[in-house]
Amino acid sequence: METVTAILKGGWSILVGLGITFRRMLRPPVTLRYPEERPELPPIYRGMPALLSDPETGELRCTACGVCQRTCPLEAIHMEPAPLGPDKKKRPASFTLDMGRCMVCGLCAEACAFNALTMAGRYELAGYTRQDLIFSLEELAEIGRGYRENNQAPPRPAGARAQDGGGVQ
Amino acid sequence: MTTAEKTATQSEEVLEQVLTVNFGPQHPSTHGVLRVVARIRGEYLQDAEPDLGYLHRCFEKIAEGWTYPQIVPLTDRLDYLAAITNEWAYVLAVEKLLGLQVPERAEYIRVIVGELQRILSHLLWMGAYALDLGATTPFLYVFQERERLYDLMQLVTGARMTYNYLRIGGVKRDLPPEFFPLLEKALDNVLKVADEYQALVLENVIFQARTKGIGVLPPDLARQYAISGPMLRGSGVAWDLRRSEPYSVYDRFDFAVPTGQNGDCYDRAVCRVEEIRQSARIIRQAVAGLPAGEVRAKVPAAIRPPAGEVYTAIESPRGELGVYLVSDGGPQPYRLKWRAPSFVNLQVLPEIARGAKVADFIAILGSIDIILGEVDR
Amino acid sequence: MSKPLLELLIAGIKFALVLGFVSVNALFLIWLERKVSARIQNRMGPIYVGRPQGWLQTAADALKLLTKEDIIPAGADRLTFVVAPAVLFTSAVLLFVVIPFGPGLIVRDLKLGVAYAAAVSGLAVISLVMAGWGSNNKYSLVGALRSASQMISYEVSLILAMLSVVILAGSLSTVEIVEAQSRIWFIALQPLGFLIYFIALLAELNRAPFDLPEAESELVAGYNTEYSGMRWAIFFLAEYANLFAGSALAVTLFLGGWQGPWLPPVVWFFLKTFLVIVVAMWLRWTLPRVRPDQLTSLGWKLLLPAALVNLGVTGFLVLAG
Ligand code: SF4
Ligand code: SF4
Repeated sequence: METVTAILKGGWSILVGLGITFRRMLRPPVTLRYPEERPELPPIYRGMPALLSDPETGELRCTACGVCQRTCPLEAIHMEPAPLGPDKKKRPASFTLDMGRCMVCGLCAEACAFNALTMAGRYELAGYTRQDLIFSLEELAEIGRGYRENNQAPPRPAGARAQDGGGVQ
Repeated sequence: MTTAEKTATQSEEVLEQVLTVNFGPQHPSTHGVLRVVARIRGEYLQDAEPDLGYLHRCFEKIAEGWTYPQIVPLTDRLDYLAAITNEWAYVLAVEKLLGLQVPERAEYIRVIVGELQRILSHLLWMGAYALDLGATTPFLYVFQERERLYDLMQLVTGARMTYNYLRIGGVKRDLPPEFFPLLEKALDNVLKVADEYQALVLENVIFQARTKGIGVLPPDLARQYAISGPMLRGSGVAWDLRRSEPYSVYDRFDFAVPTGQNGDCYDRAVCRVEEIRQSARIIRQAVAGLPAGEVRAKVPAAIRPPAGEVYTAIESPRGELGVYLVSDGGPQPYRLKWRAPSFVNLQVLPEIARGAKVADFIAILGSIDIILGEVDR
Repeated sequence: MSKPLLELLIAGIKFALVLGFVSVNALFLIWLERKVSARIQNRMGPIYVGRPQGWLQTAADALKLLTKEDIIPAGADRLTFVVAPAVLFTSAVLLFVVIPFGPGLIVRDLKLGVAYAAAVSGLAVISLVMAGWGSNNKYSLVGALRSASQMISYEVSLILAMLSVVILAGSLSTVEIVEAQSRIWFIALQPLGFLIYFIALLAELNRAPFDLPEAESELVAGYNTEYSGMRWAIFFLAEYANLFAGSALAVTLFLGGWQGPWLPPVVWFFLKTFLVIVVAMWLRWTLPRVRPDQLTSLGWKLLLPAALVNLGVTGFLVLAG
């Protein structure tokens, strides 16, 4: 008798399972057909670091202070300041980012006090050679072109929230 | 010897012999790069010995050369399925060394993301365990919910797996307002998928036949091996650091600590599924009671904790995650020791796998819920 | 042209037709399986090759596999390793000989059709053991031995279930069995027999929940761990050819074969067969895998007694009138 009930119960559990999979079969697929369709990313999404420039003048905001370089745990950033020009403004002469080392932690952008560095939403970070993974000042500026605010900036007092998430393109 | 003779002796050897089989480091069921040297006789396992180290990345040594804030993203890479809890254990240790008071809102946010992380981790385990037992479909069902939760985490932290969200003295940023309605919906869906999993897998006759009475871990043995987490609770010991030694604000929430009776694979599975429901309860309470205020305490840019040593432990999805931190007063830790729960839990594998069948061995290994990033560090 | 030569020619053409049908059909079934599993799992399955539903995907896969490097492991027993896939495929093709697709649409209506089918389907296990042994790989060997024990446990129940139908129809010829079902399908008279046949069939075919010989979470890929390229593809094709043949036999024996109103008989036959196949797929994507010892004990302790009782009762009832 016990065996019979066990068999019946087991058979029932299988039927229940079949019912679940059948109901699931009627649902539409959830697949996102990447790369034809792309995910919507939140503004604070961390893709790769990129340099921000002033939207009016088009000049890079970086003051070559070197904090990002010192903050990066993986020494992925290498920045060299340019000699002071006649306008007495500090600028980087070179700014190299090695995406082969970077772990997209965002600490560099978080540390930048000049709103000059952000994490761009670019997530296709593969390259065919190691050289492809090294980005120069110009390339980083180009990638950062569509971004206005540093999306990794530390929290601001409440109320300023609406303008937060400066990474909107 | 003629070929026929040779084949005959060979076949005799194979039939008589104990086969030594390497499960891993490349094997579909070792969840990464675990290698288990198993000696099998027919379908029976005589011995199973885990061989670790294929994913060793010198975490503890690297940490000695990095400053305190820099280590936060590094901890993400240990138990990569529960990055938040890693960060949490670490920042707790540093905060304890500093004697830092974390703003209350930050504590609540930590609880919310930490419990979300537990749900995420258990969801993956549920799927992977069904996969280990040959059912492919539950994996994709739980993954659908998992993806949605990851979208939420991404909204809060900016990344999907390696969040780098907790900070010494708080969290990186406040929860965005659009997070809350999405969270409510996601939790509903998670509970639904947990029920579905219960009916589709846990109550399935084949699943029960495969897991009930398999890999029994008696409570005594579990204590001897310092097992923690759902492994221990499955054996009937109601030990959960959130309850037994509450850290953060866990003493303010009402939740149950699910336990099993027999300590077999089935009980462990049931405990994990139940923990998802409890985590959802905790999150709802935390959202309801979320206080206003800052999310980050004032911390100097260069953190130099006073010389000393601390041990902090939290309940990660896999068990007691302990951090032992020694400071010599400099900007970098003098020593950082990681008590990885899945490393400790894995040690009991030879004990509970001895004499099992090969198919059971997979069930047992899966039920331990190891993450190699954490085991090997 | 002399008569024997002509006959040979006709036989050759028939054979080529069967072979072509078996391969194309297997490719279609693989596509179907991928689509069914995708639907169950809320995915899309193949969509790109052969839009809109990716119906050319498996053909493309087959082409790709054809062009792959042919690897034979250094320690392998070459002859057995190479021959094993062919043996499996042959046994699958041989099964098609006695399947009546419609009235008169059968390669050869053997008098002992059912007995022939049972005998031929038993060949498959030889191939799996050959593959496992020839690979000289521990996973393969364990997989092969598992499949051997599995087949032995289920063959008996399978044949007993077939026999109860034979008793009802009073013939071993597949065509006559179908014709005997013109009034009522045997599934109505033999529900238990059908259930036993179906379960045993799943085990025979190594399909989930009985896919132990290739349990990927335990044995990597079981007996075909070391296979790649075309040989692996042949294993795969043969598996699906076997699935079709087994389901077709189920239809022949229990579901009235080609019989059905309105539609042409061939259409009915394929409809029913695909229904059985889809149910098998549905089961596969729902259930976990059983353990080898549970499998054998289910076979010996449950299915075999049930099949025996079923056979006895059927025989008694037929005798009693
Ligand atoms: S990017 Fe920011 S932190 Fe880095 S050098 Fe420029 S201003 Fe300084
Ligand atoms: S994201 Fe992290 S690893 Fe990458 S450059 Fe910035 S600080 Fe370095």
